[in-house]
Amino acid sequence: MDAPASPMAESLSLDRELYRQLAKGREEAFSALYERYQGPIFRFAWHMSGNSATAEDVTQEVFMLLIRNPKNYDPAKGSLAGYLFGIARNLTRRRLDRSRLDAPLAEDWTDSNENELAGDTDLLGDLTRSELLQCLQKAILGLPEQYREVVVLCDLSEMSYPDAAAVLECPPGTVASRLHRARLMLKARLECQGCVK
Amino acid sequence: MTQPENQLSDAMRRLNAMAPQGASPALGDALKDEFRRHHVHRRRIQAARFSLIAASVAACVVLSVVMLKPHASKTGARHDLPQMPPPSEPVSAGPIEAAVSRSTVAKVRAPHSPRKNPAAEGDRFVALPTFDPAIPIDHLEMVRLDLPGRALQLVGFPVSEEIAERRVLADVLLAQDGTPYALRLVKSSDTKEQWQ
Repeated sequence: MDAPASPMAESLSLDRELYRQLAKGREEAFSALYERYQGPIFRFAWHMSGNSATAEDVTQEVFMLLIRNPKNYDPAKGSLAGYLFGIARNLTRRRLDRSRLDAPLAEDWTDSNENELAGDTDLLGDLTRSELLQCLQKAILGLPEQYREVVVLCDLSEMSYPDAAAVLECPPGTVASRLHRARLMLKARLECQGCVK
Repeated sequence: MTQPENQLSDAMRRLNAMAPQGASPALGDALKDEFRRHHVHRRRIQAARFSLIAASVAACVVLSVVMLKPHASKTGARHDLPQMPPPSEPVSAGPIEAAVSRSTVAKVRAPHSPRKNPAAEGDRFVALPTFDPAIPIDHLEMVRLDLPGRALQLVGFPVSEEIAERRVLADVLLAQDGTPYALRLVKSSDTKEQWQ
């Protein structure tokens, strides 16, 4: 199935029309929306939790909410994609809180680390092999939640800053600064894990 | 963007490509089934609400007819009281005459003019669930109403689906408080001009 690379960039009008039809009980509209967004939402939850079962549960709950309470979404407040990702984000957070998967950032993280790493040019040269990608995934899962979210939305889901900001309910500038800091943290973690030379 | 940032972005893209691309097909099927079930249930609730509204409208019609009773009595149309049989037995038309004149109520002709109203002669009154034989019947009044067949079902009068979809003329026996006790299907309103 072809999931859109950037669901937020999809036509808002098409989403709204599909949503309008869905609220009327048209199954084709629901199927179309499901095909459009189940992949991105599943991957978001998967990257956030590192767990397929959690990702599947979150995807299910997001669409169950859409089925049972379609009127909860107000088109005047934003895009349908933002609404769905927002639900997925909250559900994933709840599950992570419950399962205590939210590993805290290493306590020794300091600004001096950031400065040192910012100038490192060859740190990620070998991040092409699959085992290194696994290291990267572990490093992402080890990020604090607010940094992990921006990495998953902006780097992995290739969402724009304004779209990510809408999902995260914060200004785009905050997204940018969190993303910068998250990347530095990732580099440090990869280095600590010995995944890169 | 610096080289390490590019490398990191490239690695992120690769990681995303390696990730599962979506939920299992079974989940999609289950959600579509749930969507179908939810909307079938929703439509049933809507139909029930509609029926409730229709019943309320029918009750309002009956009440308004009862409230117009003093006006009707001025026309001098007082009639003999019928004897109500037990609910299980249909009631014959007997000496009942129409008493109400109102725009929503069709012209009523006396049941004892059989040649002008052969259908009415053939039909018999059927006691409704609201009829309680234990309560003394002091005064009954018959009104003829032009109403949707579905409304008959709402007051407990058995009608076929075909009739339920049409408008019909019905004679209703009302107690003094407006409670409908018995009902007789007269004729489809599609052919009511025969009576006028």
